Amino acid sequence: MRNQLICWIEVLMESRFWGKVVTATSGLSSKRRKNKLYDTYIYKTYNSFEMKQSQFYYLLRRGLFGGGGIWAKYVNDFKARVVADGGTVESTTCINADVKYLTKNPS
Amino acid sequence: MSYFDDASLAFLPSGAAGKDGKAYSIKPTDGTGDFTFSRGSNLAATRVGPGPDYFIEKGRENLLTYSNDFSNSDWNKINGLSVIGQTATDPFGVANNAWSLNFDGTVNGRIEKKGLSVAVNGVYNYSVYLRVATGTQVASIGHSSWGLTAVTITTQWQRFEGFKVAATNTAYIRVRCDDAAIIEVFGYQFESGLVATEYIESGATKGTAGILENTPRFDYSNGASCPSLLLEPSRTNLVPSEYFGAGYTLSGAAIINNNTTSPEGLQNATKIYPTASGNYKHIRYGSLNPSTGVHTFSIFAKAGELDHLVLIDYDGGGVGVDFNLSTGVANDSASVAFDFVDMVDYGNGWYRCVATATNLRFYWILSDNGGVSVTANGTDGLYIYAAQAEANAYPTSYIPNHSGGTITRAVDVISKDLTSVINNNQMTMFLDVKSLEAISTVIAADNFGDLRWYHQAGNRFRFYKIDDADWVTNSFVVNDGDKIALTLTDTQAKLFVNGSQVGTTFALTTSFQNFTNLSYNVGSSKNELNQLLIFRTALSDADCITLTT
Repeated sequence: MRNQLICWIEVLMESRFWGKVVTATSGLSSKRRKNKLYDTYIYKTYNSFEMKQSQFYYLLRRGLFGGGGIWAKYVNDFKARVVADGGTVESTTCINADVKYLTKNPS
Repeated sequence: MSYFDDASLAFLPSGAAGKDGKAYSIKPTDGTGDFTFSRGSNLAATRVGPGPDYFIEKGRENLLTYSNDFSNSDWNKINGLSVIGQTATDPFGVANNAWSLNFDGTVNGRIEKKGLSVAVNGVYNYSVYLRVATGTQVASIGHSSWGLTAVTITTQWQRFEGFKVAATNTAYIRVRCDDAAIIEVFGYQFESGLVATEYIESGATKGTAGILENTPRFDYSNGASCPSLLLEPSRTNLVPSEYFGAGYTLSGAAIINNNTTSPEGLQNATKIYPTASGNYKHIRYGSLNPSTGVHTFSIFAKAGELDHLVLIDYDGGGVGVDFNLSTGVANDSASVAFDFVDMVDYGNGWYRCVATATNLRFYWILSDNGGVSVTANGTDGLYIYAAQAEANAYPTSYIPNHSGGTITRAVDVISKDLTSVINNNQMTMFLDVKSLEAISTVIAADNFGDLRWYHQAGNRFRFYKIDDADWVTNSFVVNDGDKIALTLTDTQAKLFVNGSQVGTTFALTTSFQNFTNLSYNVGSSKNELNQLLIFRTALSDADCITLTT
């Protein structure tokens, strides 16, 4: 199931999905617009599969959507585990970059 | 599938995920791949912290128990001193968190901590926040037989502090007032060092912070934007103190303590200046003459009005190594050549000046232009901080010492039973690592055919299978940061380094199996580890090349 979800996200990331609702986000910066478009299309697509709004926002909070890929979820889960154990994660930016590379390679 | 999906263990120090005694792996996600981290020497290790400041970070301890509980019986109330209660607002705005103390005017009225054991000749700092309701009040803090520090308390919170060289082996830290007065008190701290550090609250046990006994050191040296795990050999700092005012000999020179901000970000660097013009105006530690064997000497220095600090070979009689603090260039013109010379930029004008030599007695001289002479005007000088002398051919990170004797930082080791991570006789091990020469064992994987990764002379790495007594890879020279992948199947071993296969495929006599405990840095070398990945299968050649590129 998770792999299917990731697959859908990868499909949705493709450029042909962008621009269809540009007028609705024209007031936003390019980065925020891209994130909003990304979230919007995932939300709409999963709505078409009758995904509940609560499920969507749960996944959004988990870092699966919005401003990052599956690597962000891995890092968020990692950080939560470390903090719960009494440790600290000092640099999420750096480990995000490492995990992003490892999740996207070998292509 | 991705490398991340395929890896059974992913240890990524770039996240700096750790706590005292543990370094976390992001995979496996259930914690079964988290490493035990051990060093076991308290307050003896430092790291370079994150940017933009890249300050040196130490371990810290507030040696006082009940540091903000003056009603506790650990604090003796003597000569008319009584505790009114925890009724005042503390310096940070927290109500009813500071204490009101009533001094009735009896001479030597005081609140005094029960005796603390300390190291004779150790350097200690005491600090406390004090305030009065109206006017001003003279009082004193510290320990009487070492000499108290007089303070003038006002209606504003001030943190008063002082430092002393311990003349006795027991300290009785206090606030003393000879007048009738009500004084508000918050947060007494007693710690090693020249200056007070950020307050650490303590209870029944001493308060601790920073790099503790078994804290993994995620290090940002050389301006790194992401940290690596620093693993170093055991070393002893032979220089007995960060304090240049005791035990050192000053010849034609004088010092001002705590004169400017050090690489630690605290006001604890020393100014040194010549008091007379001439040759060989210097500072040296009286008994520090490691005249036999290989030693590495280092000191942090920053240009003031003078910008040359010279390390002199005492027996050579000539000019030694000139450290130019304006250009950051070291010039080795010694009559007896130094084995290794370096200047490491620590930012804000500070350099760590390093020289390695054999059979050397040394001292540091102030210089106008890199020679042996200097011109004095009574004020012009330069800044120094934290000298170190260690027995070996290369420097390691700074080992703080306020003890008056020597202090040893033990070896850093990470280890883990990885039975659940590797459970067959195939695997790929990937390492992204920078390693300095030290003839030792870097990795020991027990019961996996007893795999060993040796660091050999000439800065070469090589993998070995103990039960067959086989070198299973060619050796290769370690450069400044290498990506290494070792693949093992039932029948063969292959090695890839920085995008290419090294040597030929090696036919194994017997297969590896039953991987249990993996220990890294068991042989005590110096490593900066960026990544350690383990896969349950032998990755393809193409994947290894991509991974190591």
